Amino acid sequence: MADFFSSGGLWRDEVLVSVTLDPEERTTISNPEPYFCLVPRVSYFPLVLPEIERYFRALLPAGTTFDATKDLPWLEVQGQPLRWQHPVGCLYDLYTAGKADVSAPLPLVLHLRKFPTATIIPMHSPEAVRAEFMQMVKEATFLRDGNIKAVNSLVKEQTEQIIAAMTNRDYALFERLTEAFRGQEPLRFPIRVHLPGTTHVQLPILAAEMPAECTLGDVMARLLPTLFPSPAPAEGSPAVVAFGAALPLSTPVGWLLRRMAYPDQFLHLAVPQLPPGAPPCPTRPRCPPSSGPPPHRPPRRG
Amino acid sequence: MDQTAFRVQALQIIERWPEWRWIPEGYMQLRWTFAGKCQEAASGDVVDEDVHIVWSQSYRVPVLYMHLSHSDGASFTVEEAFDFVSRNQMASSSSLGDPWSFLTKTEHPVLGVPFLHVHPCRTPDLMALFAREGSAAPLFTWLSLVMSLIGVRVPGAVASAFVQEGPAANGRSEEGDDGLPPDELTFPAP
Repeated sequence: MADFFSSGGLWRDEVLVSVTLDPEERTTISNPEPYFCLVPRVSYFPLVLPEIERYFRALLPAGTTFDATKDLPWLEVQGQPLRWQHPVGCLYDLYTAGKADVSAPLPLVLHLRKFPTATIIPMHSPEAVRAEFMQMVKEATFLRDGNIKAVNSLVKEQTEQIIAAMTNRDYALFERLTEAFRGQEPLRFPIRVHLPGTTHVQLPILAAEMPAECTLGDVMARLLPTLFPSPAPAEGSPAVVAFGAALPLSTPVGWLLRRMAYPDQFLHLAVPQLPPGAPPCPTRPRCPPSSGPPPHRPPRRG
Repeated sequence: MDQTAFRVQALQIIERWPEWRWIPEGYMQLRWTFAGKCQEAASGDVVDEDVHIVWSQSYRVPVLYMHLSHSDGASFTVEEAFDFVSRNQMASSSSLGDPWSFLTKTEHPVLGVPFLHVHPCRTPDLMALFAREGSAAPLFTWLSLVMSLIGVRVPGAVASAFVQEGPAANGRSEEGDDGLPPDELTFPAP
């Protein structure tokens, strides 16, 4: 019997995004209309960037010039460069879940200049997205199986087919092609938790060390003990969101991994709102890039 | 090797190779400036090179991360970085391929900002190889290999310390196996 999940229902889900142009570009245009688009949750923002760019570049005055090396386009969300290597769905959950109007679009800003190389990774080609996607698949496979044989045994054509199935959102084909990635019970769970304002949190959780019917609460208590002191739901424990749904902590992890993993084989979870008073990054201190004088005696170079 | 062993071996290396330091968040850092021959940008450009060795929780191996910036603070583009690395890559490791095949840009796992890294997916096999060959200090063995990929020579004194000293293991010969001078290290291809 085909249910919503096994028929690829989540893959069909799309989110509404609105894009405005960097105010610094709006010198001679009065105020261009925002660009709205529906983006699949299982896709990646760099893949919709070209259509957004085309819309706004067409509105720029003739003769606007750009520096070919520094002025690569990028997207901003809530005042920060968008970390667009993560799937659309989990970024959307991170920045919109918990807001009063859940149907409001996610507002982004398109910048055409001064790509922030110190903050985000350039991903201006489908190849860059594919490479990142396959690295995630490898990592998920390594966590599940303890090796990446299932990925390495793919011939180039199979990899191309998998990527095409992902890009075209052909859920049935993708599942068939990637069956080998979900062969046995996982050794470790490929789960990544996204928190506001920090890098994601991901620690390999050895399935053997968890209770037999491991729940989402068990996993969150293991990954983020300061936010989830116990696996049971408690007053004030933050929502854990995937595909727009706040997941009950009693949900079995095995079920989540089978039904709500993204194409990259990871279960991406968002905790969009930290309780007041929580430290900004519950498991890792946010440290600034290391500073201080370099040693005065550099190692010998070849 | 697990995370504890990583820390122990890292601190042993740092003790003998003081240009490295240990960052409390759990990784080794080497940071230095290289006044060299960066001809495209500006001759005599001073390059700030930041190299981190971070333990990968997923792959359970050490991972090399590096960041290059110009004297004005601007990060190297991927092309500039590959060019820099290939010009400095040591001849002994050229068989391991050009930087395009092993360096990719990613988010630093602790700092959350872009760094180049050597993807760890092949490292577990490499570490298993070192273990089979009875390496007494697998982290140091791995480090020497990746340092040669990016053109950083292991000081002779450090290499000798690890070849001759190091925790006793498997009755391995105390000297370098192949009679090469102590500051020249070659490794099997991964």
